[in-house]
Amino acid sequence: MKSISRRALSLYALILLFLAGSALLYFNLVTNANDWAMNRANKHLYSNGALSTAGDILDADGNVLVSTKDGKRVYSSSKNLRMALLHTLGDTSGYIANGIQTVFKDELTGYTLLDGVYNLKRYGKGNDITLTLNSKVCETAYKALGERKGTVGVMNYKTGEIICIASTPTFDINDKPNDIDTDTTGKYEGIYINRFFSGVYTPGSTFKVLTAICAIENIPDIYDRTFECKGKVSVGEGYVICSGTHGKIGFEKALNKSCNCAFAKIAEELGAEKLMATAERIGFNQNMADISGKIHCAKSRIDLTQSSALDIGWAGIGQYTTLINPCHMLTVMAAIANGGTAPTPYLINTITSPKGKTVFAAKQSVIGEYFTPDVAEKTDEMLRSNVKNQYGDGFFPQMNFCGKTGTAEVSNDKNIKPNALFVGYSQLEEMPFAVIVVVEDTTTSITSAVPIASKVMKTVKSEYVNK
Amino acid sequence: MAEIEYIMRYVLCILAIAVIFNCVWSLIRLKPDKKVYALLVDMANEKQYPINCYETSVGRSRHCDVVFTNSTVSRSHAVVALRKDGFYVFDTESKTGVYVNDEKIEKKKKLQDGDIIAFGTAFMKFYMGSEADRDIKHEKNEKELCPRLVNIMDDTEFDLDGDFITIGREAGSNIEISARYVSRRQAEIFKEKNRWYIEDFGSVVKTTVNGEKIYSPTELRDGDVIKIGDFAFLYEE
Amino acid sequence: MNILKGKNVNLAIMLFVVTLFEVTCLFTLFQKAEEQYKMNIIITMGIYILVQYAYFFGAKIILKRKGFEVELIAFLLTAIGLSVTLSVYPNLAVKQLIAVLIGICGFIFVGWLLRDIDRIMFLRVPIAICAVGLLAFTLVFAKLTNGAKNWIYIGGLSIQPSELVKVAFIIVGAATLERLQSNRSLTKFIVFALGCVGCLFLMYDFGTALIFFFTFIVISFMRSGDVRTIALVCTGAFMGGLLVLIFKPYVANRFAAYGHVWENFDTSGFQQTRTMIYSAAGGLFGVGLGNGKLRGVYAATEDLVFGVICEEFGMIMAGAILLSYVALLVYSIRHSKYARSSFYAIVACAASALMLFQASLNVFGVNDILPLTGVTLPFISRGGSSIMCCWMLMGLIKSVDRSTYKFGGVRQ
Repeated sequence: MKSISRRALSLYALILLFLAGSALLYFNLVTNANDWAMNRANKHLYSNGALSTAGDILDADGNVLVSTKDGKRVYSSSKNLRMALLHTLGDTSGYIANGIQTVFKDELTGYTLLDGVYNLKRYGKGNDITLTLNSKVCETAYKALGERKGTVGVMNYKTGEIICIASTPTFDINDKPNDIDTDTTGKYEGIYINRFFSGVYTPGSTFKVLTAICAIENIPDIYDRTFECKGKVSVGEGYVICSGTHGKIGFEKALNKSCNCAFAKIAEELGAEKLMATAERIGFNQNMADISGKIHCAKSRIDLTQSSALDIGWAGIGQYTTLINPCHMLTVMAAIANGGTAPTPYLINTITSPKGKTVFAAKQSVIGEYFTPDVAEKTDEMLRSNVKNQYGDGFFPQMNFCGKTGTAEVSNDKNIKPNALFVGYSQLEEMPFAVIVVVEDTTTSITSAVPIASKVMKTVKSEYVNK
Repeated sequence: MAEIEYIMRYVLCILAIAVIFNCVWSLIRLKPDKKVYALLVDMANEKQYPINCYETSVGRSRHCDVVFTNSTVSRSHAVVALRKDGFYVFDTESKTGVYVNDEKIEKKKKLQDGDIIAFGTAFMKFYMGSEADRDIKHEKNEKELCPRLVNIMDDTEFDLDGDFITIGREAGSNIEISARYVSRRQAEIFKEKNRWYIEDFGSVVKTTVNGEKIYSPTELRDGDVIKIGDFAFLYEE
Repeated sequence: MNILKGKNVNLAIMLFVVTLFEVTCLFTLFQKAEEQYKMNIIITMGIYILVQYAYFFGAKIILKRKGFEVELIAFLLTAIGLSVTLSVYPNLAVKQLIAVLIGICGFIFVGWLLRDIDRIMFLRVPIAICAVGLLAFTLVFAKLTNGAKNWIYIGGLSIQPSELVKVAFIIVGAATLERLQSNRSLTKFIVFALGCVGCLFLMYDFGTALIFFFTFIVISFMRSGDVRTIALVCTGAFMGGLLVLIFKPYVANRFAAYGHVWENFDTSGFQQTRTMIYSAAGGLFGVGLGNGKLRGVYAATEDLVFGVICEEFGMIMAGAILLSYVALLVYSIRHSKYARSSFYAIVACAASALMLFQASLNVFGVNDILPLTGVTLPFISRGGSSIMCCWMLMGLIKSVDRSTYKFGGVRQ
């Protein structure tokens, strides 16, 4: 029997193979469980490819933005609000990649590896998500943008809460246009994209804020310098053209007037290395940590390594290959407003289980110190001076507003209009909010972006200060 | 209702796992005992080859259960197999043949205790081991399922087939022990409701079960060792 | 005299737990069932539980056997399979129950049949002829169903003869006792195996053909240890397989989705992706018997039953089921040295290896670790022939334990 039993031992190889296969199977199952269970073919969660059973999404004040009734997702009754929040909430069919209903679907359905999708069976819905958004501000922002393409974001620069996101073009989720996928005129261009998180823009003059910061950090006598503006200035082997002829002009005044000559010269003096160092320290060329752990932000980019002196001059005024992501730029503004420390932006306040238990509560944190408090304070003064002396406090009454406009030429073609940008924040202790406005294909920022920011911040003030 | 179902899922899982894990653990852990059923004794050098499988191959190949180095033995020469009615030897196409008591066998032959088997020129004496012995003997009385006492010193057996037996120095005891220190009526083993008990009456030495002195009738279990002075008996069922 | 080191499981407790499991399932099934089937379900499960008690009563009290792990596992797995069938197809409950009962009878019958080795030796040739004959008959008379000609219909019943032939195949293959452990000649067995595998190939039942081929290798290795011949046969089979793929490329198409199921999400990868999706949806403890959605997919209770178990009973229980197949093979291997004959050792190892191999084809097939071949999961999948075969294989496995038969002495 020895020979037989010895031969039988070879069957342990089969057992080992089987166990290895099972281990692989379970490894696959457990690691992919979330993805697989959230697949659109899962009829526990989806009917006809649309999320049918999931928890509610609420705004910061507890107003229900989406809920499930009778196996269907029901949205807010206000059309404007639906339009305003389309990109933030996302659709149920997954066209909008960064929407809450898409990236947080496992939280919304309450899927856990332990109980699978059983909670849905048990409670008829999953977890509820409370956002940091304020619906009124979002609605105002959307209405202010109107038919123009662009985006608005407002963030509390002390805490990092994002209280407003609007992105246009948009559509009513209850009444999706039929020609949305067939249209060729471009009116729906990028309609599924949340420009606030996923968009990147040429910064234009808003980049001068960063050039100025770099100058404050690296050129000790920058405040004593004067620059000569004759409408254009020679940098390297070419010229940088200015929007006006500012004559002899100091550092602060140059920012007020947004003088290209002055900033091109400053950039030339700083050089690629210093500009890049400052930019990369504040998050350029790096992926920002996903917002609330899951919402992906596009990367702000700067690359001056191969640039000529002229290119660096253009880059200093935000007209080179440099691109900014609105959410990132807003965080940079928040850092300036917050004494140099950048708060971590977040969108999800709490996640509550069907039983009412809080399964997740946002913790405020900081990304890090972008600037020293001293630099932040100096920049703050200059930005305040911009609004006070240049744009006028009339746009932002009793808000002690600081800001910088930007008009970004996106093409050499004269028929293509520039993008207008505005970044800013209020110095008021009781109103610690920073704002970014981007309007595509428009005239100057002072006529388009600033009025939008004005409307939005007035609503913010009435919501948070004069309540 | 929903809560019941919720908990039932866990219960079902735990029940199934309890059964499967218990059984699986027991299946992969338990292994039969090794037993010696018979012995082959090489007549040339008295070397003993225990037969502890139901089929034992004999040959020169090292894959065989019993390996002879004798050159007249084929690689795989024969098989000694325990079958329903006792031991057989099978010739597995050996070149030099298998002989039982000097008679060449065709295919197979039943073996008796004490047979002399020749594999080629290797002469073996075949003894049925006590255990194999017992197996076959036991088949006969299996219905009675009678336990027995085994004298550990000389392996003599005493079947407990009556209702009670006596142990003592007195002539006529069922088990007579002639040592001086053993009482005339030292102990009694009796059956009650299909179980066997032992009671001690010894005056000089006490009877012990598994090393413990007994003072009242004690139930016997398989494997118990009963000792009276130097005499020891194994109780087997 | 206790034959085993250590103790066997306590039958009374285990039986109680198994019953509790069955009653819990019955309760859930009863609640979810439509009114017209409620009676059906109670009767089916009730009879099954009674039969289970009758078996253990007979074996333990009357025959005074010891060691019931193998049967306990078989009864529990059958109960799980029966519950799934009752839940999805309450109308087929009685049919399935009858198959289970026949299977249990087959288990006892095989146990009895194997008891006498001389009888097996005598019956070997007739069994072999019947087996090949049955396959040939199927080949001729079966209609093409789902791309394979492996079903024959007698009256209202559909039978898959290849399942029954599995048992015969193992018995015939292992029955070489006149030569005992020295038989190195595999010629006759190779011819027999070639006949069986060939028939299955012509039926396009590649999964079963593979199982037979695998069993053939296990048996011939156990019998002869002749690695060279086996390697030769494997090479031949490999070449044959290649020839088939060259001359009949549509055969390969069947397995084209392998490794690319997510790309062929709604076409050839449909069954596999759905299995994975719903297995994940079930989580560790499942969504509860009767709440699954995978059952809506074609062949859910047969080929995809592992997914149904994962979804409704949870991944943990599914894992435990896999473990029990492994344990049966370990049991066979460990007992092979102590079996009452090399015949039993070979038979048990072959039967348990077959079962494990079939389980891996099924489980890994639906999870895209191996190509999907459409074989059943032992004991769990719905299907009368399959469950009968599994129970008879259990009889073969059980024969390795020398405490099963009284033979050459006392039952130990």
